[in-house]
Amino acid sequence: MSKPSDLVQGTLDLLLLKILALEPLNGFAVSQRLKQISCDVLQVSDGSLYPALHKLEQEGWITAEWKLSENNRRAKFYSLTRLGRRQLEKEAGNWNRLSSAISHVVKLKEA
Amino acid sequence: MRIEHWLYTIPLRLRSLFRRNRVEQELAEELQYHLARKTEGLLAQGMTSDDARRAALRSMDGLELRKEQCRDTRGVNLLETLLQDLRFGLRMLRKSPGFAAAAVLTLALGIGANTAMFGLVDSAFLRRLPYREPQRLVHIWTLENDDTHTPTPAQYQAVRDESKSFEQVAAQGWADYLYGADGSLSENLRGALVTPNWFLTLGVRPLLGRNFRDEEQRVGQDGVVILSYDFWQNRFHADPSIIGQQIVLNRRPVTVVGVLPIWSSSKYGPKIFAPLVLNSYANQGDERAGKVRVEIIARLKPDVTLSQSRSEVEVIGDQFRNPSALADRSQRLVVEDFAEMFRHPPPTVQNAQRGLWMTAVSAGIVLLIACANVGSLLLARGVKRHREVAVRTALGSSRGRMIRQLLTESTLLFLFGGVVALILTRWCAQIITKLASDMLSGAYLQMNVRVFIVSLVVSLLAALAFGMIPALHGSRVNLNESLKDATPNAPGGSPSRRLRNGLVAGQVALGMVLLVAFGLLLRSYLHVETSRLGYDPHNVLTVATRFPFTRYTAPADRARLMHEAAERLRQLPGVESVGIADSLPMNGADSAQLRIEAPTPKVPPVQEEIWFVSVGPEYFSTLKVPMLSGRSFDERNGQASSSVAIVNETFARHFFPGSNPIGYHIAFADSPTTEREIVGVVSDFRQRNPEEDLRPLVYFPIAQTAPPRWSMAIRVRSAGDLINVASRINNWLQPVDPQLYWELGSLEAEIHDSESLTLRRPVITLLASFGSLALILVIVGVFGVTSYSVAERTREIGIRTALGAGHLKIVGLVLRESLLVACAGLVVGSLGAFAITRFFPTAGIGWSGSGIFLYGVSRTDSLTYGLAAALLVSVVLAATWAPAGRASRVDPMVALRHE
Repeated sequence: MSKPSDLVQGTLDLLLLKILALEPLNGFAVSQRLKQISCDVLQVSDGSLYPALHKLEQEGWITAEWKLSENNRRAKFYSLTRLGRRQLEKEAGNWNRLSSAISHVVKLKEA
Repeated sequence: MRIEHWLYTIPLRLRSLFRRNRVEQELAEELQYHLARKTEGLLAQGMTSDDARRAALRSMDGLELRKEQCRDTRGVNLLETLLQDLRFGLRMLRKSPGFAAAAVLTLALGIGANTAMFGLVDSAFLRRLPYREPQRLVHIWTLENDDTHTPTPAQYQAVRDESKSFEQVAAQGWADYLYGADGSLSENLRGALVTPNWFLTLGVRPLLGRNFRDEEQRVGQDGVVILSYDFWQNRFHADPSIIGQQIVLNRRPVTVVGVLPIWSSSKYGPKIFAPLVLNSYANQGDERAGKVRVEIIARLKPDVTLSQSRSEVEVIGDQFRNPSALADRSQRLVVEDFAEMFRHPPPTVQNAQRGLWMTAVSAGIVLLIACANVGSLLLARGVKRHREVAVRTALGSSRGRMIRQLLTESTLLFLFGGVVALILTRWCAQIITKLASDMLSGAYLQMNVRVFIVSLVVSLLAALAFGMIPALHGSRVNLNESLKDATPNAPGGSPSRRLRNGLVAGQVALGMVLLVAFGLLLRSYLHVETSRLGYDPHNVLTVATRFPFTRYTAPADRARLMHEAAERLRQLPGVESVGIADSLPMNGADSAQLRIEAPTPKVPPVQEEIWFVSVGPEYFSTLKVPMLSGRSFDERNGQASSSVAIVNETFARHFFPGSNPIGYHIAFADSPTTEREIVGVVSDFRQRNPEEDLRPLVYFPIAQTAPPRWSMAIRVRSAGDLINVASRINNWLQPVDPQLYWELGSLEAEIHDSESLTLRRPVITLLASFGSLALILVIVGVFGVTSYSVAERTREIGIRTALGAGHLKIVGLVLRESLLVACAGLVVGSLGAFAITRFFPTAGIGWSGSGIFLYGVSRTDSLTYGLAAALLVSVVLAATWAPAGRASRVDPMVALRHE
């Protein structure tokens, strides 16, 4: 029933970790931020966002806290843990290696 | 890294498990917040509130699904659904108590049989010994002329006082006891005299009371005894107040201080243990003083190895060697690991192990039948629950989830079965231990952790194996048809029926294997029981006595006593003749190296190990064994007259082929090497077991050999005289020696108690009970499956009846199906039996030639196969009868309206 997002497998984790590394956010804010910073290129359905967040939480990479949101409603705010920061570095490194390799391949001149 | 990971995750997991409501609430709130914000945004874009809410929900791609995905990330979901399934399973079982009870009971019988058999097999050969730290226990023997013997008391004292390798060194001597205060009630008992640390060394704690104390090995303080479990059971009806009471042994009151646990008792083992007073034991009897022996056991200190203790004990043993013969290693002390006995079990033990394996395998077959039963019950139930499964699938349950649910339910059943099995086994432990210890001393059934674990594992494995098929089958639904069709059993019925029929056929096949195995062993037993013995055991009483240690130590005294007794018995009315022997038939014989003169001149005598029995003059005529040539012994063959011998037919044929042995000589290879002239050849008869191979045997006049044992065979005139004479013997022999008790028996009882029948009986009893269990299970299985398929075919039968099929036709329809299934089972079962009986031994183990093997019957015995098949077919027919009758009474109107 659920189609995986169009993102490359595993990159959603990286994006979420990066976004939360900037500042603690609640789920809705994360979805907004995703659209905003990727200029609507990356489409993450609201539905698949929460399982992904919960997975990160259960892995111990992010931790949750109930706080008042900007419109004074109780919301669950996620922030990065020490483990999460390490994971982010790792995944970012992986991503850089992968993307540079791929762009290198793509830029190859045809003979 | 890992630890830090757990630091975060473990509290989360625990929270998900134990604060589930809270976590759920938070999940709902979180998603609610998102929806609210989203809706607000959409409203701001100008949507109507309804549209906005719907659009927000849609953007979630299924709220409940997302929630479930979030739950899955918690990693405890599996556990949670398991609990949920268990609760649901319990509810379902409670809703159909009949089904649950039948299944649990069936499984309990199957698993129970296996748990019990495992307990026995475990104790009999997988076992580490029941003693504490058995790897540190050793035997100490003395080696004389390369033969292993029990050491002397002096050797015990030396090892005890001089060795440093052992924590404890203990000794055991032997004693015969006359139990009971007054002569008519007394009973001869085997006893053991043990040093007070004997049980401590073994690590055996008494079931009741206490061990011996150190001071109890002194004269005057040794009036205490510990009883064996079976003696306590039989004689004192397991009365725990026996501790501290006095009983009379050898006409002397002693105090009972303890009772040993059940596993330490054996049929032929000592019944009474008393403290060993070493000095008086060593000095008992003058002539035998040099021959007094004790068994020595010792417990190694934790840091001492077996080989270290060996060298130490060998040095201690040197002082007992003949100084002039120090060079030859003819006599020395050796240390042997306790486990050695188990690595090389004696033939009787190997035979009993055979029997135990056979019963263990049949217990496995019973379990398979029970599982097949429950499997078909589950299949039938699965069809009934078709609708339920369909509805649940329609509501979004995946197939895997359904299989898990159904498997959980069946596992519950099997686990309940396992628990009930443990209770049943606990109940029957006593009977089973008794049966098994008849076969193999020391085999016992003790409920321990191993038994418990095995029962659990068997239940779980069976649940997986036999719950899987019904679960796979039950979870497969065609949604459209199942929900549409009003009769839930119409689809899926046929493949399920085929499966169920397959299970019934399997049961019949397994039953066939079990019955054939039982039949072959039973027929062997009957053949052994009626085998040609070579002597006439009817109307022959036996009498034996045990000579007290203090009197009758001289062989001449014993001979005089027995002759006097025999003489007196001949005068007892009803007695026809009295024969004396040191070992009656079925009691075996001694063996020795004999030198046999060769029938051809200039050929040196042959030396061979030969059985020999010492007999009196009237012995052969009393047993009605004919002399083939020569003469029997006569009264003249006393100690003074010339030395003679009689040989049996096989001996004559083996050593004197084609010639007459009479006049030739035989002699013991060791002293006394008196030449004995062969004066007669006697017809063969079995000396140790009813089915043994006949072997060369030599008879010597008992007056010349003066053996330590004497028994008498008394032929009475008629069967009526048996009881008459038996009841008078003890009083009649009073004048000979009022102190002695005469143990009564009969040759027929000796046969009944012969080693091979004693070994075979428990196996047959156990196989018979497993066989009947299997038959009952087959009946239940066939009945269940047939009833079910009749119910399933009600519509079809209704239509047939409406179209004019008569009652007989309908009954035939049902019977035909069962019979076809049964026949398929019988064919497979016969092949299986044929294959499995290849493993049946066809000969005994060891020189005694006894044991559990096919005797007088081939493994393809058609009578056995035929009877087993007939029994199974009639059982199947009987179980089909009621459902078939019900089918024939189906009212077509009702059946068709049922639609």
